[in-house]
Amino acid sequence: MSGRALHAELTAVRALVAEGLAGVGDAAGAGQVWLRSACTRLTSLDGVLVEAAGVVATPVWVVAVSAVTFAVVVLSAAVAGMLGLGVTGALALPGTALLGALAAGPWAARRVHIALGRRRLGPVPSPAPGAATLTEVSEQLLRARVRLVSAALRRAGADHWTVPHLRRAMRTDPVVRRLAHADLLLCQAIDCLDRYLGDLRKDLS
Amino acid sequence: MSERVLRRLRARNDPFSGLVVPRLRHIERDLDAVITDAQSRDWSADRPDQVVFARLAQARRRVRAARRFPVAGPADPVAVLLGAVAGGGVAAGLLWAGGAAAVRPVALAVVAVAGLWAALVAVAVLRRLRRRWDRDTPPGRAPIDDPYLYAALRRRIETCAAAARDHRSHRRRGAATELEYALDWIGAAQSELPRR
Repeated sequence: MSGRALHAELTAVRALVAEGLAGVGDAAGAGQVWLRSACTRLTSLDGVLVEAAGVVATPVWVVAVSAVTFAVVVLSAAVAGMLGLGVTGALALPGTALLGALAAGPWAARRVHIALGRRRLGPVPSPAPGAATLTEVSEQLLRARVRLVSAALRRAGADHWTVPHLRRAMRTDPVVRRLAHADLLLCQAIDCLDRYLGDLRKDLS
Repeated sequence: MSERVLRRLRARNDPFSGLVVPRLRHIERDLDAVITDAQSRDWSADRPDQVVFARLAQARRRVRAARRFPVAGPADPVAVLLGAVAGGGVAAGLLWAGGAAAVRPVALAVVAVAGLWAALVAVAVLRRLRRRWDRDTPPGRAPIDDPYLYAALRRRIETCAAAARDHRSHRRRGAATELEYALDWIGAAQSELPRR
């Protein structure tokens, strides 16, 4: 699945989730535990979707990481030369700098993913005004889940739709891993909503 | 006999198991494996069920919150280790071969980039091999359907909660509350299992 198609799918999922969040948020003013926890799930789901859309393609990533490594080592080795350190210092200082850069890598990559994802997906679409009932919201979230899972499956590739392949992709593939996390949050939100509705039904009967 | 030993003895509810207080990190790792497996089965329509793994994931969140240092490890530790060994080995070999000429800044940077690419190539080869291994792996039974899994998880988390409950640090006592929430979620997951 190409990047652009994935972004279009994620934008659609995001719009559905924003509508659902608006529908739940209207009803959550009463301070219900299940509704509030569904709201938290949906809010963090949006962030995960943005991060999934911001993952850079592998060749670009390789070039960027190589450039950063080159720059860090050249600069720190030049600094070691200016300080007049011996051979050990000239090896130890760039080594330490490189390890520091590697340790800061995930943090910096997360920032880059979020910024790129914001640019690619655009602002959060404002939900259409119209009071949806919670049952409709639950169905809408289920539809969002179908789109999200089908996008993730297409991303994983049609010849990898077996359980071991998917399990591996959920652990190692950067995009599929984030989409799996988003799917998990969506399932939790749907489950919280359903438990709230079930409690309501029990109270009424 | 010190208080620590007493607490350990209290936590050991099975005298024949060597395990004293199970580690939250290991509980989280096992939960993670079960959740990933159940979710991939849901995605491939092998065992469609979206509720149970979501509830187990809530339990995992609580267990993670109860940990003292709740940092997630690398997503793929095998690949990280392999890449570090391959990259470090290639860089060290180049430095040793280059001798004194390799200490100049640009040469050193070239060596570092060569090490990086060696690490990336090793990880790519590992990925190809894993695809081949995965093709031959049968999916097997789903661990999420195993009733003993829930019993074992509940027992391990209860042991951790009992050890945390009378700790002298109030942060550890707060972790016991999180673990009780985790037990609630595990009970909720088990109540949704299909009964035969």
